[in-house]
Amino acid sequence: MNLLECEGKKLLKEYGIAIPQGQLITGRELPQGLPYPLALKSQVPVGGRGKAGGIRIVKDAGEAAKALEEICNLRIKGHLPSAILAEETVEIRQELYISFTIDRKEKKELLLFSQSGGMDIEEISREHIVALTINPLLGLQEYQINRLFFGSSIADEPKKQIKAMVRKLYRLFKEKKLELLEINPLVITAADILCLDAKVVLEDILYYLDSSRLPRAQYSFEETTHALGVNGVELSGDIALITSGAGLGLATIDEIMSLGGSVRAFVDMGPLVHHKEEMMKVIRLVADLKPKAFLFVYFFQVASCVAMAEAIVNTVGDIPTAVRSRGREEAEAKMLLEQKGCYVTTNFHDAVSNAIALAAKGGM
Amino acid sequence: MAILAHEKSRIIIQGLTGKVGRIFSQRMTENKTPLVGGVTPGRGGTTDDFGVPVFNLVEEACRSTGADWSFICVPPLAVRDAVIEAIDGGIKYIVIYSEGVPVQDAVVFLHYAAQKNVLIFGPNSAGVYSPGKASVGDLNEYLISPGNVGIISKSGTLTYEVVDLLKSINLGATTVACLGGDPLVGCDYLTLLKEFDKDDETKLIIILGEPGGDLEIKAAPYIKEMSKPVVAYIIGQNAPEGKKMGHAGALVSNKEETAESKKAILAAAGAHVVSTLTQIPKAVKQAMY
Repeated sequence: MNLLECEGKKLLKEYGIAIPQGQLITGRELPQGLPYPLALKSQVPVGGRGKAGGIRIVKDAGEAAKALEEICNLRIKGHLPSAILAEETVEIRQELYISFTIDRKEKKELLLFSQSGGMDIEEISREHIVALTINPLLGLQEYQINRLFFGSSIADEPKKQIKAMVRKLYRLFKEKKLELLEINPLVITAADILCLDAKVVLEDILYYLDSSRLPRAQYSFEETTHALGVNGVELSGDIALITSGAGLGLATIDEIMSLGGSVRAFVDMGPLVHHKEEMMKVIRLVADLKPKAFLFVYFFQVASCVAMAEAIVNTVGDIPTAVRSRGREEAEAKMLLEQKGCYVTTNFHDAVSNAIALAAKGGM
Repeated sequence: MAILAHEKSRIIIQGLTGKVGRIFSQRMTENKTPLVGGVTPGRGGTTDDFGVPVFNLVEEACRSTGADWSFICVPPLAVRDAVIEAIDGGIKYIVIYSEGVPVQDAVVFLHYAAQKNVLIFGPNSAGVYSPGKASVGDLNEYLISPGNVGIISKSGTLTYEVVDLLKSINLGATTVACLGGDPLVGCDYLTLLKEFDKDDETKLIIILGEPGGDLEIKAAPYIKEMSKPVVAYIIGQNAPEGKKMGHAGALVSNKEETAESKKAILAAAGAHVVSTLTQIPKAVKQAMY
């Protein structure tokens, strides 16, 4: 999950990493005790806020009130802000970029650093980026921190401060098991080194364990399904597909598309197959997307077909439903599903083609 | 012959007396898989409901049973410690069944395992199964019988479908291995292709891959040199880009990692590439005879 900037900065503060002075505005109240000019920043869990008009510099209370009103109602990539972060503005001498992430191919930690920050990392030319892989068993080494500054024009004092900050950032990255920690820009001012922005991606499992997160203004289908413990994706086609696993799900999508059908949503129910009540919540959520047909595909070795069948008959309502039901207790499940009027088969291909036919009928 | 897991394997379960561990203890006992013990700290010296001896530590289990395989089904945040304990205790092959292991934890234990020459399946793996010999995971006798096909897969649920299709054309498997659906997993296709290539009984290998990562691509040069036929299906050619489709591992980070690109690379290396699940039986028959 992407943290909001203010949540990311809270983590930075916990680790003694310098951030601008700021105040979180959750209503429409004006910031108190911060010197103007101020930056007002929309707290949405997506990038590109600046370009979308979600960051405003205001000179006085009058401007602040007007800008607040506007930003609070501004959707950025579909998201309304959870809050507005008011921050002091600082005089920037230089903008840098630093991030820690995992290099999947090398199976190592990756540190990216650039002395020309402030823009997207993709826009920084390659020769201005230092990329270092870190052995996860050994951690970040001092020589690697020194290497960031080869050929650098940064003066000794700020360099020392940045090095200390790099060590703290790495400690945060490791201890919180972050998927991404990106500071862009990291700025040098007359007196300080500050993290002006923070992009933090937390493991889903750790995100949902932490109850102190700010509520989001609204949640996408993906986020809502994640919160229930499964992976869901909303698409724009006809059939809502729910499967007992991710691999099976992708293979079913291939089959649907090859037979000329399309997918409205896909949920991998895998983690919840033992929990009927939770499965019902997920199916209701999918039903809200008003698919033209439901297609359930599962093959259970350990879990029971009956739990899934009960969840289905209680939630699909009038939406035409095809089910490929296979595995433990499949006979009992079949009876339940047929009573409800679902099309039931043990054959994968037949289930898919039937769902496509049901969706076509429902669309007329 | 089977590869890696066989009748002489000695398997333990870490998390034996937990909710998931109990299910596997029962199944492995009933299926006569060589399960020799399990680990639950604090319960050492007892046996579980199915007569399986419980140990406090992997080290103790290895010493008294000669265990070389461990099936790990502890909660995701406890996996890192369990894996390192298994490696330190002397285990040589590990299946991590648990789902939701933090990537940073995986990076650490995968590194350590590589240093100690321990082979890891997973995280988020359905396990390794050699029909009639040993099952270190989800698959069992009822699904597939001994035969001549080797299967290497990223996905457990997809693997059930494929073995089911093979059964419908009267084919069985030497060994079925699930690498795990996570972005970072231990064992790869290349390692197992080499094992299957050496195995006399394996006549054909099926690769089940997905978008994202480069594990399938790294296997391509070896497929070109192999004499045994390879059938490959890369799921997700219709998956929208940038969306997490269940497996975090299936997230594409560059053009070479799409299903289409992987299919082309494997086809160029001489693999029989199919586009849907239902095309697999025909492709297998054609490649085998």
